Amino acid sequence: MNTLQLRFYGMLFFVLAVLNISGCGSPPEETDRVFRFRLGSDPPSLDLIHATDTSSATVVFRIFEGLVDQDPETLKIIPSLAERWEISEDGLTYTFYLKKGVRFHNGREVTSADFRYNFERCLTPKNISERSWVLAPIKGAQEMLEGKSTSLSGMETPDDYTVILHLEQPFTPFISYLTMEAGRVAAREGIEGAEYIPVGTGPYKFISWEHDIRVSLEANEDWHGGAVSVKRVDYEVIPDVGVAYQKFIAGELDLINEIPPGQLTLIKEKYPQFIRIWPYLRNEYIGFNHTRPPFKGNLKLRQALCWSVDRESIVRNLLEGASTVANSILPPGIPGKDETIQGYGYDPEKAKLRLAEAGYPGGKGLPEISLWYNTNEMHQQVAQIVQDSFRKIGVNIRLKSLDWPAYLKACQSFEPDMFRMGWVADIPDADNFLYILLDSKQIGAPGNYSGYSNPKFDRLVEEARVSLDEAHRIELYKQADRIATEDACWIMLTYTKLRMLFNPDYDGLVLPLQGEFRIPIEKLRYAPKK
Amino acid sequence: MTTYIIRRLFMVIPILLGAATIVFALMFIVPGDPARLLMGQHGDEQTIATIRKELGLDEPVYIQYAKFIGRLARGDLGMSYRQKRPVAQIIRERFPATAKLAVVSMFIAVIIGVAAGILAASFRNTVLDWLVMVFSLSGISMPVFWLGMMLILVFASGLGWLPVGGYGRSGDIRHIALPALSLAAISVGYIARMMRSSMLEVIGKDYIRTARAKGLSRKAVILRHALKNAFIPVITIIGINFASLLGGAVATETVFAWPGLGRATVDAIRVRDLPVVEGCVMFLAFIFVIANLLVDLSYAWLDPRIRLDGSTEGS
Repeated sequence: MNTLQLRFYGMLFFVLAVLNISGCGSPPEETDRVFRFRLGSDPPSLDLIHATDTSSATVVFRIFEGLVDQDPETLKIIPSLAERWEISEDGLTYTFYLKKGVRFHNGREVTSADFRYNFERCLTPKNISERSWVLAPIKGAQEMLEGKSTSLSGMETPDDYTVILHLEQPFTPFISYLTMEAGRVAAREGIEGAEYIPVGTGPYKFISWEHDIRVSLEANEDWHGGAVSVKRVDYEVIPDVGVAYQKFIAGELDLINEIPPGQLTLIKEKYPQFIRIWPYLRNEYIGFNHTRPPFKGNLKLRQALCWSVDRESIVRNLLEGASTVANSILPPGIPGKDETIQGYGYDPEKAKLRLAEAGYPGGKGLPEISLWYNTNEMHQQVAQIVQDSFRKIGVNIRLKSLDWPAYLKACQSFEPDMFRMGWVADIPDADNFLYILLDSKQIGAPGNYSGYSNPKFDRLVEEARVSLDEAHRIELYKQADRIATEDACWIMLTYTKLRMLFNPDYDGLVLPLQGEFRIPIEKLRYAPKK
Repeated sequence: MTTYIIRRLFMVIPILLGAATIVFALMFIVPGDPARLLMGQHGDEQTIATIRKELGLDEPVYIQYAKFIGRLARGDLGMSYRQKRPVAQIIRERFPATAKLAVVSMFIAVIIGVAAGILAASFRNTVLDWLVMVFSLSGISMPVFWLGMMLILVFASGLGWLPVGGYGRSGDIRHIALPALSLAAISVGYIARMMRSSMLEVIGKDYIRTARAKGLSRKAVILRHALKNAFIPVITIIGINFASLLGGAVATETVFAWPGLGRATVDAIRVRDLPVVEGCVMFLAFIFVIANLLVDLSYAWLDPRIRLDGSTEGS
């Protein structure tokens, strides 16, 4: 054996050794009864006070529960760890009565002290919670966030099974906030160890997390909500949607939460049995910059552009029919949505007329307008269709794209004349759209990137925030939605629908209005159809 | 030799300091507020202010820089803003997957690339040479994303021989085959082309003619005399390629859902998770420095005339 051969075999040995260290030749993957759910990215965190994205939420909502929950289909608030609750007439005091005998996955019983521990942990500045705003309406939360106090004065735990929360001022959507991650409860044993382990009370227990590969959960046999049929769930991290699709077709996944762009029609023909499409609480729009000319104070100009956009064409050609044309701010399904609002159709003639009335006949005299979007193929195509629509009435615009971090910063500081944006509801309450995105108190970073301001609108939305009368609130939101639409605060484009591929061998699928991350896996049953 | 290695190792410090400064400056210049980005879509102002304060993002930039360098000097890569875990831990988790992919794909690339290069040089200006050059050029030019997808469509979805993607239970050989192959394609191209041109140069040398005149077979001359001498520029290419593979291969890792460093770095850039970006870049810089050192050392091993203290023997 000469030296060259020796080196070759040496190298071969090295390669094999490297492979062997990592367990080459392990047994074939066991896929029996494991429900495999695709995630587009590794969850940044499975800690309740840090989870803010849908990947994290998908997993976290199966492990942890809160005082109350939300029915995924009707959006009604339903009991969870609290079996019942009372809200005082002034809307300031919430009293929750906990179910007795509910245990964490480590076997310890949940008591009111656990809620105190979790809420105070979230509000302690050094814990850097991204979700402290969820609990900020509670009295004493501000003091904690400012570092002036280490305990939450507005929270009472008179006994092991009672939690009383006092709010600073009435805030009706608060009960919905409690269904979010930061309103849920984790066992302190999992938090205080050397490494964070998610220990909750939910239908699934945490087994393992291999970062950028998968998170595995197993059924909680002692779940207080009843028997769980699917015994194990693997959340597989597959960033590329095309690959996720190939994996699904090859039978390596049971649910993928996206469909490769432009393939819906094809997949519909080939695999109709897998497709699930349903509406969810999300809108897509193009915001006007109301803080400076040409859009500031020029209603006619804004209306002209609203009338000029061919939304039908966007839905038909770009979104392959899996969305609906938007008539107002609120998406369907949200209490307060008014389907009778006319909105803006596609009418180039009317658009030209309005443009002339605005002082820019045929677009003459308009300064150069920029439309910004965050870099993404779909957003780019939408922007191009909009650009083309404007051109037909004589308005020329310049497109500009940036990556999300830079884009967000630009929007918050009112750099674009027009910008693309979409919003998914945190909670199924109109407040989450109308107050957060359009109230004048929210102008800038908090959410109102267009700088829209109408005192009449503000009054309605702010009254609805504190009103306890549900029917009255809905009436207020209907009026507010109509005002913002008539003001042409944005160009409303579409209400997005969720599209996913699902293995029909599982029965009991519920399609949540808030998004696929709320799908109750615990309700699925394996029932092969062949 | 030992003094040379020690001297080179000392040079690592200014290089890493330079890399640290550049990455810090770049991440400072790039627009985007890390605190705001942590919040998801909901940008509550008070929460942002609290986060900025706790992360030290409200401090003047020179203080942030000084703290960053101070941390690095203590060997501390910091905590991820987003994952709330030490950056060193994140790198430790991702590096085995990246290293595995780099070793296997480099192995494939070296075997195929060197063999193809030698063949092309030995049969210069024949159909074989022409084929090797066309294939190596396409290897370099083909987008990894596309090639990866094609491999999946043919070998996984089509023929069903291999899994579509993913790391499997532990990154076993069935899962590594396609990503390694698609990643190797580029390196094969570079290595084959470099091997060919370097070989041609050596074959033209007098001592090769002498060896042939001595009556040695063509095969013996090429494999024993020419190859080792022709290897020096190829080693450089291999070293640099290998180092960059060890830093992670974003496109391949994304297509094949491979849990490597490249994906972790790019994901961190997307959300401005500064400590992770900085940590991964520092790690990559370190690997490059070491790889370069090894490449230089291998010159001396391959060609005894080269001495690493600066002078060249016998010239």
